[in-house]
Amino acid sequence: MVTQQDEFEHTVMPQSRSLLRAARRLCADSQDAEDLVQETMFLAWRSFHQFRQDTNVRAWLFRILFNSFYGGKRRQHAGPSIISMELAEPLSAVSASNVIENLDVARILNTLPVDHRTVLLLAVVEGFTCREIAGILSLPMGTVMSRLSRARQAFREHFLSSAKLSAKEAS
Amino acid sequence: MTCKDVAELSHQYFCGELDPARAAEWAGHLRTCSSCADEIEQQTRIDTLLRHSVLSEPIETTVLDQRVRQQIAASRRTVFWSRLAIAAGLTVVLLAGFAGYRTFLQPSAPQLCADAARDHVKEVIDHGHRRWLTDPTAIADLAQHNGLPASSFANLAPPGYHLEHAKLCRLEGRAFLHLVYAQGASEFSAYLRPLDVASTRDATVRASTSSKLHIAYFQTTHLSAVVVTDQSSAATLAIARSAAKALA
Repeated sequence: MVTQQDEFEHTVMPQSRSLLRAARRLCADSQDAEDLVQETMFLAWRSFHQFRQDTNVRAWLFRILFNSFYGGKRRQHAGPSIISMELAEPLSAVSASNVIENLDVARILNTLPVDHRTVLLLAVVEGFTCREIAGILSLPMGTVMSRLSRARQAFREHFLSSAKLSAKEAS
Repeated sequence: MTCKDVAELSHQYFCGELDPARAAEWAGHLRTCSSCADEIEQQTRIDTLLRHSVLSEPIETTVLDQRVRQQIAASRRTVFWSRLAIAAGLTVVLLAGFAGYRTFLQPSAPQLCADAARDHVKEVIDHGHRRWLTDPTAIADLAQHNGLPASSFANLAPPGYHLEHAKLCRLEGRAFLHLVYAQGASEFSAYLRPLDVASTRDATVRASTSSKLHIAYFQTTHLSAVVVTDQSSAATLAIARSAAKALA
């Protein structure tokens, strides 16, 4: 007989890596991130009897994670906020392909505001659709789309700025 | 579709969330707008790089998973003991309530005996002015009306005694049938009341004395009874045993 705990082990526990990856992008330090994931998993366990097998378990877990994050104090200690980077030349002048391999993309991601980091993580890294992200963050679809568009734009600007600086250093 | 729309809808397009008409419009715009096509191409490369970069970061969750399992196990133990404590608490409350209910419904022997002794002195020895029933049929009706079988008092007294009269009285705040039996100058009172809750007790007779009176109390499965007399304690016990036997 399959117990609820077996079901939880099979369905939820394998998602801890994805959750921790996202939590690290949200929290100020790794200990906070692990605490956030532990809290998420425990909340998931407590309401697991309400979980319907035909729903998207990853979306369900991420929703719990973000609810815990935004509802808790961790929000106040979120990772670094945006760092201003001046662009000396137009973006089109940068040939990203030559330098992108050397860039610390994760560091660039950390320079974005947490709301931008969140939608980029969910959309680009975790592969959620806009509708799923809207459900996870309890936001209207239109808000998700515009926030994602702005987040992409911001990330690209920082990315290309870093690429340009690296190219200069290389030359 | 404008260039701004193309940028905003790009994720929906790649996720397959756009309806076919919008998707065709989006793709059509890229074919005619090299600027947007370049933007999307660059965006796609950056997305890929970002995804690979984040996904390639080492993530170790063994310790975290263990912590989660321990927390769940601890919560299960807490829930188990909480439920056990609640069940035990409920059981205690129910048992206490039942005991209280039984106590409330059943007469308390000492108080009952004291009340019976006072009533016997007032109504039998001092001949109070209460109205007595002397007609056996009327007494039988009164007994039945108060939940006692009409036969309950017929053979209650030992041989030689006869039922003199009867009435209702209140002992310990409850209605009792007060029967007075006499044999020459000897008299005794028998107080009967049906039990509110059937008892499993045997008809053990408990005797006590009060102001030269002897009082015997007993319960059968369906009624409680008190015998009061100014006769000797042995005679009182003999009457009570006879009554208990007849009423059992």
